[in-house]
Parts: sequence; structure tokens; C-alpha cells
Amino acid sequence: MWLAQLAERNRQCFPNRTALVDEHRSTTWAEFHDRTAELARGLAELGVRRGDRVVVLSQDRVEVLESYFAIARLGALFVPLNHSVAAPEAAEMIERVGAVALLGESELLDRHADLPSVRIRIAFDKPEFAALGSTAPEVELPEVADTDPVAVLHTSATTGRAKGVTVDSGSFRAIALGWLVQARPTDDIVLVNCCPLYHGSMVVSLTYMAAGATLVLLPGFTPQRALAAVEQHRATHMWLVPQMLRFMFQAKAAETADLSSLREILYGAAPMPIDVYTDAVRRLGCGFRQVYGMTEVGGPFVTLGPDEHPEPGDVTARIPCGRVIPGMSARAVDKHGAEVGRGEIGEIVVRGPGVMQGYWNDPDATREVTLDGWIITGDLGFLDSDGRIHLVDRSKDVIIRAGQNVYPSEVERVLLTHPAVRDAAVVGVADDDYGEVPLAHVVAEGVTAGELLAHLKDNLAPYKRPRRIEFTDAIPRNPAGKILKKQLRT
Amino acid sequence: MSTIRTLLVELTGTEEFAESVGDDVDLAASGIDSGDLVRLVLLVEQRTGVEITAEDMEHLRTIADYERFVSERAATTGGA
Repeated sequence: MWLAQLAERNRQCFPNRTALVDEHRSTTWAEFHDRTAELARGLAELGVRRGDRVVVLSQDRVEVLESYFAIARLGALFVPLNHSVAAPEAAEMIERVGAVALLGESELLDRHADLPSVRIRIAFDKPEFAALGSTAPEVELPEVADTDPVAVLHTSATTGRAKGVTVDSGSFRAIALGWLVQARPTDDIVLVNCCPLYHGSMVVSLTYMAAGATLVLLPGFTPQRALAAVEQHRATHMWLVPQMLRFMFQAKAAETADLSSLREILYGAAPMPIDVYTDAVRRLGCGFRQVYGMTEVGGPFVTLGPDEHPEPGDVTARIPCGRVIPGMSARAVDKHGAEVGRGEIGEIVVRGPGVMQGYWNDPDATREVTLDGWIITGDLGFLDSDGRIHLVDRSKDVIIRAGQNVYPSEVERVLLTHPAVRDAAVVGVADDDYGEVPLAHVVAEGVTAGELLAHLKDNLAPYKRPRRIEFTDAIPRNPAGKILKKQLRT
Repeated sequence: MSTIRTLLVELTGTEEFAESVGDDVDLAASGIDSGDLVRLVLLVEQRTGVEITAEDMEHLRTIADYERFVSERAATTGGA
């Protein structure tokens, strides 16, 4: 089983090196390996069996990853949940997967008192978790095959209810091995993980663990925490969404923080605004790596390395997503599923050993995103002559104005080239004449709507220009940094 | 309206939240978006000139915490 092998290999190769560190404690690879085996025995003693679902509800901390590995070693499924969702929504997800156990921070577990399927509750911050497994008998843990499901990861739900994605052990293996070949992370990496471990982006963290890297975990992102973590641990890498970089450089701590240890910034989940990229390159002087992934295809499956990023300062530059990792396949297809030519826009579909087994107990939803063995990403894009994928937009977000396609990301990109604009999101709104027209929501200071419309006029074809500019204090985004367009349409 | 409440109005775009939340209510548990909490800290820094460190943030949970922190820092630095 991949996760068990990962822990065993790193105990063998780097027993005394730090594997994980959070604000309270750290653990070496030897300790991590032994603790996950101990926890697995402890959970088995409490009656957790192969195929059972165990929900983990916590901010990022060492115990979260210890639990994931322990649960998977048993052949049970770990089910991380976004701890910031409302209690009824979390309860619905817990019941939907039929969880038998709930692990996490006591403050979060206490919000869910009445859950019929749950018979085991253990809080990370209570003595019973520290003691879990310490007196359990040495039992043979079951063999877990690559085809055995080991996790249910929930989607980030930008368009509706979060879906549970069933992931098998082979998926984690395939993505990690492909990433290790393509991105070549080394075992001296210290990675500050700014993204939550409760959804698909956690596969990036698992992949760097596979390389033997040290992971620095934050109990929720704040610019101050992230900056302090880089300084304190002399971090070489950070994994974040672009909006986090923008926030980091707005913090006063950024003026004095020593970030000279950074070698690479991994970013994903949302496009990198060129102004943020330019500012970050100039301030940090390190490499940037784009991560394009999706929970349904096993996590990160495309990457663009530092060598292929544009020179900072070129405001017209478009950063491609990158190339698919070895072992996975991706192509752009038309509405009939036929591959389109290089440079032609189609829907990006993916297949390979990383893709999900399906949505948990939801074959209809699984069928909706599957086409002849390919997963339909819902992203529109094209491949260039060098095999790099360029994303154009989400297929659901395309605005069809009188039969002409308007890609919101293109309009957003132009808006963001105006020096007064800090953030922007474009959505389609109903229009009697055209069916649908673009509406821009903008965060900006010292500029009028008329000036922005003039700026758009200089840079966009007439049919792409928004009819109206709405100024707002913030663009709503989910914790992964994706724009919540549904909120903007209402 | 206090400085922090004014900033909350600016962040949320409405007076409703800023007026309804008590001085001693944990903001993280009050229903405010986590991104807005990040922006609140940045706004406090920008508007008051006071730097907030990661360590300081461990003690900043409520409106009263923020108000106390800003006034104490202003008193020691003579600014804000």
C-alpha cells in the first residue's frame, strides 16, 4: 500500500529527519512511521475495519496526516472535511459517507453531537488520542491493494454541493510517481503548506512527503503565519493559491521577513494574476511552479516548471498550465468527445491511474463527468505545439452573448492589467437583447467605472466588454482561492 | 463606531455584521469568512500603522482584543 510504503521508505532513508512540523510539535520520519502503525492498531482495537469511513475534522496539524496514514493502513477510508462549513452541511456529509468514527479537534467535534452512524469520537487535543494504540496488541494489519479505496476527498464545490470523490491507493501512487519524475522534488525541501489538508490539494503535500521533504503545517493561512514559518524553518518551498501571495505582500511583516531561503513557489487552484506574479518574482527572486489539478483526477496532474514561466513585467503574458505528468493523459475534445487540433479550444479530459473510482454512492453524478473512461474536467483549454495545456475558462462559466463565447477569465485578465484594480470577477447576467452579457465585479481604488470601461474598450472586442462595473470590497472565494461565481450571479 | 467595527463594515459591505457581533465574541466563530479575517488584520495594519505578528494574532480573537491591542501599541509607539 502506497502510503505505508512511503512511510517505511522514509523511515529507512531519513529516520531522524523532520517529516512534519506544526505550531505545537514536530515528528521525525521514524516517529511518524511508528505512530501511524500504532494509531492503526488502536483504531483496529476500537473496531474500525477495512472499508469503514473515518471522518477527520481539523485544522492542519501533524495529527491530521498521522490519522490519514493510519486509517489507510487499515484499509479504511479517511474522509477529511472542510471544518469551516456550517454544522448542518458537515453533518450531511458525515452521514452521507456513513462514517463510523470522527477524529479531530475537540472544538470542531463538539459541533456535531448527534450523528447516528458515528460510534467512535476521539479528539486530537485530548489524552485519549495520545494514548490511542499505545497498549493495543501487535496485530497483522491487512494487505491493502492499489485498487482498494482509501479516501473520500470532497470537491471544493464552486458550483454547488461538495461531492465525495472516492480515491484508491493506486491513485496516490500514480500521481506521486508522475510528479516525482516531472517536478523532481528533492529530499532537502522544506515546504510550507498554506493550503488546507481537507481537500484534493492535499495530494500535493503527500507527493512532497514521498520525496522525503519536510512539511510545515499551518492551522489556517494568514500572511503573518506563512511569513513567520518561512523564516523560522528556512523553508525552500511554499504551496499556496495566488491570492495568498497578494495578501502576504500586503502584510507589514513582509517588509522585514527574511525569505531568502525560498527556492520555489508552487501555486494552483486559480490563475496567477500577472501583477502578483511580477511582484512576487521581483521580491522573492525564486522559481515558480504552477500546479493544475482536480480532485476527480487524483490531484495535481499538470505542472509548469520555473524555466517555462514568463519574464516578470510582461503584462500581456499568459501563463500556460504546463504539461501532463508521466502516467496520466490529457487532451482537449469537442462536444462529441473527439480530440481537437493543436491550438483549438476544447474541453480538457483526463484519464490514467490517478483518476477517481467515482463519486461516493453517486453513480449518476459519476456518469455525468465520465466519457469513455476519460474524466471531463469542466475546463476549457487547448494544447500548444509543445504539449502544454492552456486553460481558457470553466465551461460552466462561459458567457454566451448572442451566440458569441465570452471567456470571463480573459475579461478579468484585462481588468487586472489596470493599475487601480486589485481583484476582479466576471459573470454572465441575463439580458433581453443578447441572452447574456458580462458583468464585472471589481475591487479597486481611485478609478471610476467609466475609466475602467474605457480601459476595456482599448483591449477587448466590443462583444466581450462588460455592460456594467460593480465595485465591491472583496471577490468571494472559497478556501482554495476559487471565485464563487454562483454568489456573484445572485 | 469603534475603529475595528468601522473596518468590519468596510470589509463586509454592511453594518449588519459589525453591529450584531459582541465585543467579546470570537470573530472566527461568528460566521465571518476566514478570508475576511485575513483582510481585517491587513486593514488594521494599513490604517493604524501597527504591525501585527503571527504571535500577536494568537491573542487577537475578538473586537475587544483588537481595540485593546491597537490602543496599547499606539500608546507605546506614540502613533496610530
